Amino acid sequence: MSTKKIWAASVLTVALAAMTMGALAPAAANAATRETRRDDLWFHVTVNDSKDGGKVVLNLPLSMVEKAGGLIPKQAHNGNGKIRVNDQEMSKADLQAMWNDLRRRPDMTFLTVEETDGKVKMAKQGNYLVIHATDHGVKRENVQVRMPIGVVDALLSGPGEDLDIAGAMQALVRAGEGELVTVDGDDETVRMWIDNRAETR
Amino acid sequence: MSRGLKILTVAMGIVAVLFVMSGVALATTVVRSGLVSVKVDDKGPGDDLHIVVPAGLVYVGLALAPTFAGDELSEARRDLREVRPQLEALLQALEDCPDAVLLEATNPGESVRIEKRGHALEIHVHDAQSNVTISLPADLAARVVSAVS
Repeated sequence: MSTKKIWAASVLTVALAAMTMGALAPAAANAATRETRRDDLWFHVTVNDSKDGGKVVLNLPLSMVEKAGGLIPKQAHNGNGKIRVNDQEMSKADLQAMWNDLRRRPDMTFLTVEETDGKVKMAKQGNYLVIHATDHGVKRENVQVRMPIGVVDALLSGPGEDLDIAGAMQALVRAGEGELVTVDGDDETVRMWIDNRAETR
Repeated sequence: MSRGLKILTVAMGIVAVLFVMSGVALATTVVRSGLVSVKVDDKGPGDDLHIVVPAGLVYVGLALAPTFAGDELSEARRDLREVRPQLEALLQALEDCPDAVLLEATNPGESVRIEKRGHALEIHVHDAQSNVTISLPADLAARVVSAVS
C-alpha cells in the first residue's frame, strides 16, 4: 500500500471517529445531565397538626430514599399473599393481571365509590395513577394521591407474592419531580412531593 | 557550654520536638476525622455541659470494643452483615448530600432539628428544661457500621 493510501485511510478513520464521538457526545451529556438531575432531587414530607400545633418537616435526598428501599425488612415485602381492596381479598397475581389490563387502556376513571359521607375515585391520567378520596362526615378530609405508573409497575413486579418496595423506590426516583400525596383535613394537613430544592418552600 | 548544659539542651529540644509533633498529630487527627461535640445548656439551676472529643478517639474505642464486648458485638455483627451493603450505601448518600435541614419536628414548647452542615451532622433538641446540640462527623455512622460488621 502506498504512503498516500495509508495517509488517506488514517485521515478517514480519524474523521469517522470524530463524527461518531460528535454524535455520541450529546447523548452522553444528556445522560449525565439526567443523572445529575436525579441526584439533585429531594423527597419532602410536611405534616401540620392543626389540633396540637405540631409540625414535622422531612427533607431527604432522593438518593437516600432510593437506598433506604434496600433496608426495608423482607417481611414488609410480603402481604401474606393477599391484598385487601374494598374489603375483598385479592392475590397479587389477580391485582397484577388487573393492573396490566388497566395500564394498557386510555385515560379513564376505573373506580368510583360513593357513600353518604364520602367518595373515592381512582383514575389513570397519563403516566399517573390518581386516587381522590373525600370524607365529609364528622371531620372533613380530602386525600389526593398521584403515583407514577412506573412505581406501581415496579411494586407489583416482585417475585411470587412479594411486593418490590426497593424497585418501587427506584421507579419513584426515575419519575422525577411532582406531587405525590396531599391530605387536607380538619385536624391535619400532609403533603409529600419531590422537587429539586433541598428545603421545603 | 558545659557538658551537662549541652545534655540538658538536647533533652529539652527532644521534648519540644515531641510536644510539637504530638500537637501536629492531634491536629491532623481532628482535621481528618472531625470532632464530636455535645453541648447541653440547662435552662434551670443545673450545670451546663460542653464536651468536645476528636472523632478519632471514637474510632479507637470502636477498634478496642471487641476486646471488651466481644459477645454483644458478634450478635450485632450478625444482624448488620445482612444489610451492610444497603446500610453503607444509605450512609454514603447521607455523607454526600448537600447542606440541608433533614428533619424538623416542632410542638409547642419543644423541637428537634437534624441538619447536615458541611461534613457534620447536627442535632438540636430544645424543650422547656434544656437546649441540647450534638454535632458529629457525617461519616461517623458509616465508620461505626464498618467497624462493627
